[in-house]
Amino acid sequence: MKIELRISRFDPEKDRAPYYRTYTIDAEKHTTVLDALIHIKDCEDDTLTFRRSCRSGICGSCAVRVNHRACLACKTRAMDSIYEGCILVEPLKNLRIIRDLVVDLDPFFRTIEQVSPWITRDCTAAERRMYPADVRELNKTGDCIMCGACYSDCNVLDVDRKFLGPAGLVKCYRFVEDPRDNLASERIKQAIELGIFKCPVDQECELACPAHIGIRRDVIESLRHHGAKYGIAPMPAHRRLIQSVLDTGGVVPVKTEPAIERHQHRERSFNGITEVYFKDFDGEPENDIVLFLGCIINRRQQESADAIINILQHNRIAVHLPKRQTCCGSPFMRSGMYENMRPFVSQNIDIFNSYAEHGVRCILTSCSGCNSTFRHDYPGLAVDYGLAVNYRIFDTGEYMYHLLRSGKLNEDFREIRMSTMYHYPCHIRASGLEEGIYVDLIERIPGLVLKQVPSSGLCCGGGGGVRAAYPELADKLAIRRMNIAQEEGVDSLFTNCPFCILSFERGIKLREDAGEALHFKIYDFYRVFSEAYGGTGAGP
Amino acid sequence: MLVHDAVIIGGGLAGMRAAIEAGKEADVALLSKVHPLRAHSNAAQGGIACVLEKDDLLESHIYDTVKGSDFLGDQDAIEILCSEAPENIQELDRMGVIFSRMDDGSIAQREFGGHSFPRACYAADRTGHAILHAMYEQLLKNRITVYPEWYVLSLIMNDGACCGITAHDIGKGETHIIRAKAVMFATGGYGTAYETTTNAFANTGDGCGIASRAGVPLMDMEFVQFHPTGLYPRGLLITEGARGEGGILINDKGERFMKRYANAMELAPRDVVVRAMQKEMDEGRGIGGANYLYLDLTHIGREKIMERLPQIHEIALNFAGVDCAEEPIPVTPSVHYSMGGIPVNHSGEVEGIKGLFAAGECSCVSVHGANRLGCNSLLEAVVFGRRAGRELSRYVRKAKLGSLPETDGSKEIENILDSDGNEKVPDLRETLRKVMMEKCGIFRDRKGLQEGLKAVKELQKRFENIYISDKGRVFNTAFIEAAELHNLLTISEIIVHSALVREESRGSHTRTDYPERDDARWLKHTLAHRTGDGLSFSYRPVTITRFHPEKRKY
Repeated sequence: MKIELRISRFDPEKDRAPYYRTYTIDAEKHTTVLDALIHIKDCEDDTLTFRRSCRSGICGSCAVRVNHRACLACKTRAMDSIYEGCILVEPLKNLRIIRDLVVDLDPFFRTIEQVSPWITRDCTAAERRMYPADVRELNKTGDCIMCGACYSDCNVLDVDRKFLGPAGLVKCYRFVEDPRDNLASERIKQAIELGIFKCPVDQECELACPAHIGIRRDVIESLRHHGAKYGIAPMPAHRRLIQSVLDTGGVVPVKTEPAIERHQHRERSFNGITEVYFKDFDGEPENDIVLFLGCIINRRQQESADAIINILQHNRIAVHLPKRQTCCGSPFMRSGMYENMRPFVSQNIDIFNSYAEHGVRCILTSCSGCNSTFRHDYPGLAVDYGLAVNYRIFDTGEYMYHLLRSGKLNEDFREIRMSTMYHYPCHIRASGLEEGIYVDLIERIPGLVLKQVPSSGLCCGGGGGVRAAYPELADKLAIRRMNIAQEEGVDSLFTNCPFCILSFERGIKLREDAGEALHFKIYDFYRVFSEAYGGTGAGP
Repeated sequence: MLVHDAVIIGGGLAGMRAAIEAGKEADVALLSKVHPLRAHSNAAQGGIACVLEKDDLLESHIYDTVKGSDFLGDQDAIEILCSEAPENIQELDRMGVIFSRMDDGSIAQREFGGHSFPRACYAADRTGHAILHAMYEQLLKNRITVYPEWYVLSLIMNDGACCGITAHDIGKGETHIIRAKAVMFATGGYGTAYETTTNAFANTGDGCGIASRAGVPLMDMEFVQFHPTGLYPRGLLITEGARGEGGILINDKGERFMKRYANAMELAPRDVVVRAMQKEMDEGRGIGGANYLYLDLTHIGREKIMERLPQIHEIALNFAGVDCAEEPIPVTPSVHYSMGGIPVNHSGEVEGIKGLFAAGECSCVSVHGANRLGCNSLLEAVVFGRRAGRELSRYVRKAKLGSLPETDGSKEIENILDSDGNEKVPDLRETLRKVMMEKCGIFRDRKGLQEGLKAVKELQKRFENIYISDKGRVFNTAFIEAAELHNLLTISEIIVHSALVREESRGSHTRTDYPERDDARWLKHTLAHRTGDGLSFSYRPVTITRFHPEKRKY
């Protein structure tokens, strides 16, 4: 089969800026992008310049970006990489281009050197004994091949070159965990200085990593946890957030009446559980669900809460809003303070299990951050705490998608004329939910046109506690994301994560205040759907 | 001009190990055409051999290696290799290598072909990667000067002594002279001279090619190791450790054919397994009649595969679409390792040339003789890398910088950039790789070797007319590929000619017209000297200390 490659070319002796050239080659099922590059160099154009060596994914030479994501060319199958008729091949980002696909990796290698990457102690043979469990832990990071893919796709590095970057942190963690080393607390202190809390846990690095290193959970969050154990983390701003959770059950303070308090006449007891209950339609509900709002939607984005309830009512879903729902625990997890989260996690699991006992097993979240915490962290924590898990977690959009697939989604939408781009939140992705789910759903609304580009993985700056500790960095990320969307031809983003929305709205306001208005809009997934159903509220 | 006490060329395991050792007391620079972390030592998978258990015996490691070498290995060198193994493994452990462990915390060991005891220390199936990265960490710790992505063009010789090199800074496109009291090659193998190889693109035998053109004889170059299990058709390495963990080889009839060839079955040494495989395929029992067989791991179970052979699982899945926990892996013999190379003594010195050293795969000590045992190459790289490094630092302390001659031989290579011929590098290279595979592969005979030699010489002639259209200076990889081809052509001639001369079958060198080992005539090392237009041969006796040659049975 003929395939087309669009390759970024740049010869510093001739060109002022990189440009693209398109090549057509024959490819088979197992042809890799590297095979394709070699074929072009051998048969068509010997000036095409790229690095390669082992061709088996272990040397790390051939890292490039294919369709906007860093990968090893030797491990990437050409046939799987065709997007809109061609394969886009570009050099790694965040590094100076030397020629064509070759970048200057020196700054990247220097980040490795910065963490004193060697065993510091000269142990005796007895001290060097390590057990299979130690090795398993070390192997989580020992497989790093230092190809630079993570460095390329790191959102933070694009706006802050003082950040160490993923590979350096991976290397740091490799030594923190090594029983033969004795500098753990110094290494963690250094990791904090070099930006361990600058990571918005967007996991772009992890998606690019050809060695499948769990950079977010196994490295960044583990380092934060170690820091908390040594009492040198989290940062003061995070401690304030944690205090707010301990005092009020949420990271954002209560300023206006929380969504959950706005429907007192609907309050009732459901088998001993105090809840707010919504069933405003006639006849039997299609299903009963429990809605978990999360502190941001409950306290800051109450309209979104009402919108979700409205969407569900239009689909004949009865909504149980338990009043005792409390912080999901994410702030503890993200800042490394696992030890303090048990009461919160236990309380939520207890509520969910109580509903499940009485036949309401579906728990819907409105916040993607809570969803990701419930899905990833709760199962393990439940085991640690000796609790059973009898319920199922859904993101609200995901639940709507299930309705759509089973032909049960009410598609009686009003036309909404708009052209926008869906901003795919990292927390949604972390829950294992694909972008396509939401794109499919959104495109059901008549008149609404999405302009999607291949996952460019841009970050809103709102995750991982970055906004608390490094607000300027978070703002830079948010504004950068919107600027790039504008370059891509849209003047709005459509998203379903309360962190993204907060971040973007703050970015817009900052630019307005500075007299450099962005002329950019942010649309909340839930509010637009609710509007498409013809109403915005949940009724009195 | 750049000046150092010593320059080490090659950033793999042997080169880095030597640099760290020599760098303790001397001003050493490490020069490598790829960044040291990209070196092919990375791709070593299965393990590094060492007697650690009290039930294992040093004597047994020595004997296994001697027997594996088909009695061509020098036994004094093999004794050094095996007896220095434990301290080297302990040192690697101290350096931070993440070896897999037993439940009691000691270093785990697995079975490997030709070893009579499970003595392969491993880090899952990424042993080379684990050691290489730890060595790089030591390189940083010891602040060794590195010239990454610099390509050596020639040795500068004066009056029988080595006084530096010319090298091309790939990134800038500039050629420099680096003066040094001593030069060491650690440039690895030449697998890309063959069509099917486990080796990286970078394995082009640069050190051997350059040394040969500078007048250094190359030893035992006819001994080319095929690895039994290269992933079909690319040749990517599927570690012998997969067989060490219980993997079996199957022909088209579903038969475990190794039972007809060796009691040791799949864990016979590589030369034995490869001949059996090629015979099966030649007799039509390749899968579907094609040139490959199956390596079956399915009975090992997914859990153990994922713990001990995760990379194999990924390679098979990625490059052949095979989930090896469910289906057998298609494999074919692939060129893997060069037993021959630059002849050196136990301290890595090239005899007869002052200030020239070599270690690792590009050297020939000889510890592998006619066939290397698995896991002995990583061991050789650290043991003899360290020894060479020590000697290097001793040597430069007393040596003086030599004066530079007027010409240095680099011009002929640099001229490629300006040449206006009509021969293309890929054409010549692909032809060479086919010739080497067909005429100088697993089974050889006089007629084929003569044809091969003629074909290689024709290619050398055509190379004089080489042309690259890339005239840029910055990162001109077309130029580097041409220079690499030059080296491949130099050593291919030596491989084929040495194979033609050796009229016997020993280890990896199998002559169908001389099917037996002939100790009376050929228990000796081949030395191929470049003389004007061709080669001449001389021989060196094999050092035999305790084990007299006997019939080799597995």
